[in-house]
Amino acid sequence: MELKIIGEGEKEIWDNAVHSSPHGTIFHTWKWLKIVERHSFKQTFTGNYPSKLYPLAVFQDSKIIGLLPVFCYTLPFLKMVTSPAIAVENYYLGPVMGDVQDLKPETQQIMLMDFQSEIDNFIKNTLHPKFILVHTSPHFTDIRPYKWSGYEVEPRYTYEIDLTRGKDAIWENFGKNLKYYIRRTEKEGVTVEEGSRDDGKFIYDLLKQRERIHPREDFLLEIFDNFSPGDLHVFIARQNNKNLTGIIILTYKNSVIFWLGAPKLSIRGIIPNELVIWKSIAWAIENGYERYEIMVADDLSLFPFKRKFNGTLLPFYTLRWRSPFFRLVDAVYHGIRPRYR
Amino acid sequence: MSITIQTADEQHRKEWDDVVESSSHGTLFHTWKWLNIVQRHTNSEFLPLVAYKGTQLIAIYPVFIQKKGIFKLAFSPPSQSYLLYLGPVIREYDTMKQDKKESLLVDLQEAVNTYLFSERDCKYIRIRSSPGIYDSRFFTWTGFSVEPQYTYRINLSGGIDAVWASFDRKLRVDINKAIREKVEVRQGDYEDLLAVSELLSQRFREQGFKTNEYRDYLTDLYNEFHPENFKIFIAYHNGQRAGGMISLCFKQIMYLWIGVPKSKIPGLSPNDLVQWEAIQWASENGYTFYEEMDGGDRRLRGFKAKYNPELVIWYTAVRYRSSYYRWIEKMSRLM
Repeated sequence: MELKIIGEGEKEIWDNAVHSSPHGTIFHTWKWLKIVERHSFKQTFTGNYPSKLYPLAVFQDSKIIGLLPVFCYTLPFLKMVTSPAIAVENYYLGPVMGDVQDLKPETQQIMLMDFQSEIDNFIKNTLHPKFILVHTSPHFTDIRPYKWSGYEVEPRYTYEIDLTRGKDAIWENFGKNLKYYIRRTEKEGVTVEEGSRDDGKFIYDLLKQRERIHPREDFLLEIFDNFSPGDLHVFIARQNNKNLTGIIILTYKNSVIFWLGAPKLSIRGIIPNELVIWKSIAWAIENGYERYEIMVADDLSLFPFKRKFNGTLLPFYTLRWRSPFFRLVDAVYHGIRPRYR
Repeated sequence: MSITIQTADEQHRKEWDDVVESSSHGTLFHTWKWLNIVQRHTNSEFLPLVAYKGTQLIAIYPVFIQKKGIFKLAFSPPSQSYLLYLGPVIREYDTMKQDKKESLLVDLQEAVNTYLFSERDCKYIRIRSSPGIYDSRFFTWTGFSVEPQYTYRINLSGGIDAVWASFDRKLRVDINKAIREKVEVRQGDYEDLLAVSELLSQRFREQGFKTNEYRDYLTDLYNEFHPENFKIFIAYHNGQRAGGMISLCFKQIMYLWIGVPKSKIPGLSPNDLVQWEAIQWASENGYTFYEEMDGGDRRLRGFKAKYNPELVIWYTAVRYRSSYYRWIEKMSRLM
């Protein structure tokens, strides 16, 4: 096996591998990663430290076995490697294995173990981080090689709705209350339309006011300019020609992801956020998509909202590795202040 | 309506086993008879917790309390029981809507935590939930640290020929060689059980573990569950025992529960033939899955993975009553 850092000239090879893998998402695409690299930084009390992207690929006999895009941050006392980048609204990234679906499970497992070992050797021996943090993408299910290499593994979840069941079946699966209030919201004159760049800015402002978004506005606009109208769509709810709320969705392969938006909104008797999501689900069905993801199902504060749509749980994983010194620091710190109370 | 926790007794036995039957994550280990045998052999107090919403029994939650010094610790399953997983069983879980499952799991775990920490004065809880509950958020949201674990399952529903064809090529060669070398696999009896028990103790000794006495425990299980749910497969070569295993049968799944160490006969793999015979038996008798228990042991990955099973997830969840106990445990691990 051979590990390579992929350069600009090989971005097509990278994107083809991402596209053909069940683990590949829009967040793994070359264009997305390069935008993220420009906007991600680690903020500390001594200043902001920019990210450096390492698009790592492992080859065997000139065929890609797997990819891992990692971002490296060099702080005064800590070098850290993460995948995805920090503070750019990416909930997961992680490894992408080559198109291995036709291989026997045992062959897939051995390939994954070899891939993980190659990547880990490079990261630990070349980048020398004190801390590695990876959030894998959904459908990446076998994380045993990471456990066996000393990573702490935490299960995470996202919600996915199977659109192939059809609009009626999905609607029927919603709770009574949700259906009633969606109908009522429409009766009260709330409409949902595809929105513009300015509507995207409106959603950003709403999220910023509620401190529910990290990056600066120019990150969102650069993403918009590069991915709309093909892979990025804005849906906006209006009443009496006034914007109420909205969401930004991403499309990739046969999936739609509800990425940003739907900030908490209290308007008596109507639920514009739920209506926007329902309309975007209907749009996704009409446009032939098969899956609709409501990202991240394990944030307890957002759980009551996201669970209403009765999506199926899809696991992904958070992997953490710390150097021995940081393990000691962590044990002392979390002994005094436990992670879970 | 809030959940109330009670401890079950002999009178609840049928209701308890009905819940175990009603959901795919209910296993033979959850049955009333099995748990009571576990209690007799693990030096622990068995708490057969049952959860009610109003008058309806909605879940069972077997917990064992063991003492370490002055501390009371709660386990499901208990240590020294040779059980991989146990945890709660929710009545008719598979047919519930997602939002109902979520609320019930969180409410149940909160009620159980309160019962164990406040009423039973436990300092620590460790739950290993069985495959079929794929949502572990109810642990995380009620203060547990959660770690994913794996087991292996072979899907038998495509027929035995498809299973054979999916095996690693070298495995098929080894099985055929064992047949040519006249290794014979038979279903075993009590004598064979004692032999397996001795080999098990010997293996623990060789691996440097403190040896537990499993003979009486296995005997009780054999007397209660053999032959319907508890089967022994033994390989003979030249009239001598050369390999074997204990398997369990429950609902749609046959489990490889205890395997004996690999054979010392050069160039021969009797255990591969034992497992193949057990898989064929499971297929002929209408089982949908064959489980090779525990897919997380790196040492055994090669042996188990060559049968080309799918990975199935389950979880270990741990919670300390206070951060003080957690800190002591973390520091002791670092020493």
